[in-house]
Amino acid sequence: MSVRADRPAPRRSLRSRVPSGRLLRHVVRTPSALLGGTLLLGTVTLSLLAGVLAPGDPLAAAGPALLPPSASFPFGTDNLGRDILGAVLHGLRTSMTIAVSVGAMSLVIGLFVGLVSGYRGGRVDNVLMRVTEIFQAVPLFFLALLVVGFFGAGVDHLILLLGFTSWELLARVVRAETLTLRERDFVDAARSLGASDLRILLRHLLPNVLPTAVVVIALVGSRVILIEAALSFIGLGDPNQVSLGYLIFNAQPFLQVAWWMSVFPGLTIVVAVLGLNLTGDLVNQALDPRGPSAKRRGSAPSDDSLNLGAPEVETRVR
Amino acid sequence: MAGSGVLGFVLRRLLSVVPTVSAILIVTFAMIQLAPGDAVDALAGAGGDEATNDYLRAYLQLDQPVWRQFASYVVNLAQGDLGVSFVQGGTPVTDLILDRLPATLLLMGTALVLSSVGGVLLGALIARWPYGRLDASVSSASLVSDALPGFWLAQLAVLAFAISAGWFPVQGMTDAREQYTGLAAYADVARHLVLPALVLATSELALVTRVARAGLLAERSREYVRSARAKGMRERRTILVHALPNALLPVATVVGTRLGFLFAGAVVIETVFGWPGLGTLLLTASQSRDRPVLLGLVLLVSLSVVLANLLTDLVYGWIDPRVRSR
Repeated sequence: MSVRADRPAPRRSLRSRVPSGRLLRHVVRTPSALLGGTLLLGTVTLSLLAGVLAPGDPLAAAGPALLPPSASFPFGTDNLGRDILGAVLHGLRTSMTIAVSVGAMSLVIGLFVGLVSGYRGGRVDNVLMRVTEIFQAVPLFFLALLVVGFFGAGVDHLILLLGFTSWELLARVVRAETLTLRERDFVDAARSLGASDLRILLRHLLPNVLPTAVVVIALVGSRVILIEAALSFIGLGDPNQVSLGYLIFNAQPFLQVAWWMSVFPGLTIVVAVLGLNLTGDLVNQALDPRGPSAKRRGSAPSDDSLNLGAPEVETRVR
Repeated sequence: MAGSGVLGFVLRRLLSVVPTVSAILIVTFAMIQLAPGDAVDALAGAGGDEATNDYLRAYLQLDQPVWRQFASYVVNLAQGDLGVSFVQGGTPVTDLILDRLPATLLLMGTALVLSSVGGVLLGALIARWPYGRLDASVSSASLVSDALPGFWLAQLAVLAFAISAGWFPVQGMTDAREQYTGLAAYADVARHLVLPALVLATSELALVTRVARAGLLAERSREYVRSARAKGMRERRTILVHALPNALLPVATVVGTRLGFLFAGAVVIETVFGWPGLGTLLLTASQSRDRPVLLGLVLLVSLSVVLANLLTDLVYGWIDPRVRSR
C-alpha cells in the first residue's frame, strides 16, 4: 500500500512538464524554434559525419594555396592549400565534443548542487551558494587561460576545467526550482510514507527539474563553444585538433587576400551557437506555464519566462 | 551580525568580498604550485647545473614551506609586486601591465559609454512601441549578436570597413608614418579607435538594450506613469522623465557586473586590431608561456571584477535605500 503512494507524483500536477506533442506543435508553429531545431540538428549531424564527409587529415594540403571558393573547394583553400570545408567540419566536431562533454559534466554537478542546496536549505544551502558565487566572480575565460598557460593546451584540460566551472548557473536555477517543488503535496506525501531523502530527490524532484536543466545546458553549451573559440583564437587551443577559433586565428594575416579563410569558420560558430540558443529558447517557451500559445501573441522572443536573472544567462565571451 | 543602517550595509558588503578574494588567491597560488616545472626551470633552462638551480631555488624562496610561500605571495601582491616576466628580460610584470593598461582602458571605456548610451536609447525607443516591428527586429538582431564571437566580428569589420571601403585604418592605435602633434594626434587615435570600440560595444549593446527594455516596460505599467499620462503628459516625456530614471537602476547593475566580460572581449578584439593594450601583451605571453605575465593579467582582471561588483552594490545601495535593508 505504501509502495504505491511512493511512486512519482502524477506529473499532471506539475508546472514543469513538456508533453512531447505540445513541444512538437510549438516547434512547427514557431519559425525561430523551427530554425533553431534545424540548425542544431544540422550542426550535430555534420559534426558526427565529419570523418565521412571529409576523410583524411584535415591538416594536410589538398590543393593549391589560397584558392577562392569553387566547385571542388566550396569554402576555398587556406595558405597551405588545405581544404577549408574539411577543416571546418573537423573544427565543428571539436567544438561539439567539448560542448557535449562540458554540458554532461555541468549537468551532473549542477543538478547535484542545486537539488541538495534547494532541498536541504539552511547551512548546506548557504555554503553551496557561496561557492557558486565565487565561481561566478572569476571570469571563466581568464581562468581557462591560466590553466592552459600553466598546464599546457589540450582539449582534455579544457573539458575538465570548463566542466568543473560551468555549473553555477544550472545550480542556481535548479535550486530555485527545487525550493518551490519541495513544498508540493506529493513531496509531503512521499515523506510521510517514509521515503528517504535520497529517494525523494531522485524519484520525485529530479524528473521535474530535468526539463529546465536541459534549457540551461543548451546555454552552457553555446557559452563553452565561444570560450573554446576565443582561446584557440589567441593561440591557446589544442595544437593537435582543428578548431574553428584556430582557423580564424590562422586567417588573420591573410584577411586582405583571402576573406573566405575567416568568413566560413566564423559563420559555422555563429550557426552552432545560434542553434543551441534558439533550441534553449524553444524548450524554455514550451515550458512556460502559460503555454507556448501565450507567447505567440505577437510578443518578442526576448521575454524570458524562465527566471534566470537576466545578466547571468548571457554568454560569457563573445 | 553587523548592525543595520548605512554603515552596516557597507560592512556587510565589504565582508562578503573576503571569501571570493581568498578563493582567487588560493586557486592562483595552487596553480603555480601544481603546474609542472617551476620558475627555476624557466629561468635556468634545461641545461643548468644542480648547484645553480639550488642557489636559484633558495634565492626565490622556493625551498620554503608552502604556507610561507603563500604568505609571501599574498604580501607581494598587496604591494603590487607581480614578479618578473620569464621572457621579456626580467621586466617586472607590474610595469608591463601598467604600460599597456591605458590603451585597454580607453578602448573599454569608449565601448562602455557607446553600449550604455546606445542600449538605453534603443531600449527607450522599443518601450515606446513594444511588441512592434522594431521590437521584433531588435530582438532577432540581439539573438544573432549573442552568437557572434567578438574576434570574428572584428575581422568582418576590418574586411568591410578597413580593407574594402578604406574608411578606417586596419591596424594599430596611431599612424606610424605620420608624426602628429596636438589635436591631430587625438584625431589620429580616435580614427583608429572607431572600429575596435564599435565591435566591442556591439557585444554589450544587445544586453543593455534588453535590460533597459524590460525595465522600462515594467515601469510603464506602474501607477505613477499612469498618473503622468492622466494629467496629459506626452508619452515620450513620460518615458524619458518619469520611467527612465527608475529603469536605469538595473541597467547600472548590469553594466557594473559586466566588467569581466568586457575585459575578455577587449583582450580578444585587441589582437585583431593590433591595439597596443593588454590583449596584445596577453597574446605574446600566452604564446611564449610567460606564466608570471599570464598570472598577473588574470589576477588583475579577477580582482577588478570583484571590486566592480562591490562598487556596483554600494552605489546601488546609495541610490536605492531599499537594497540596504536586505
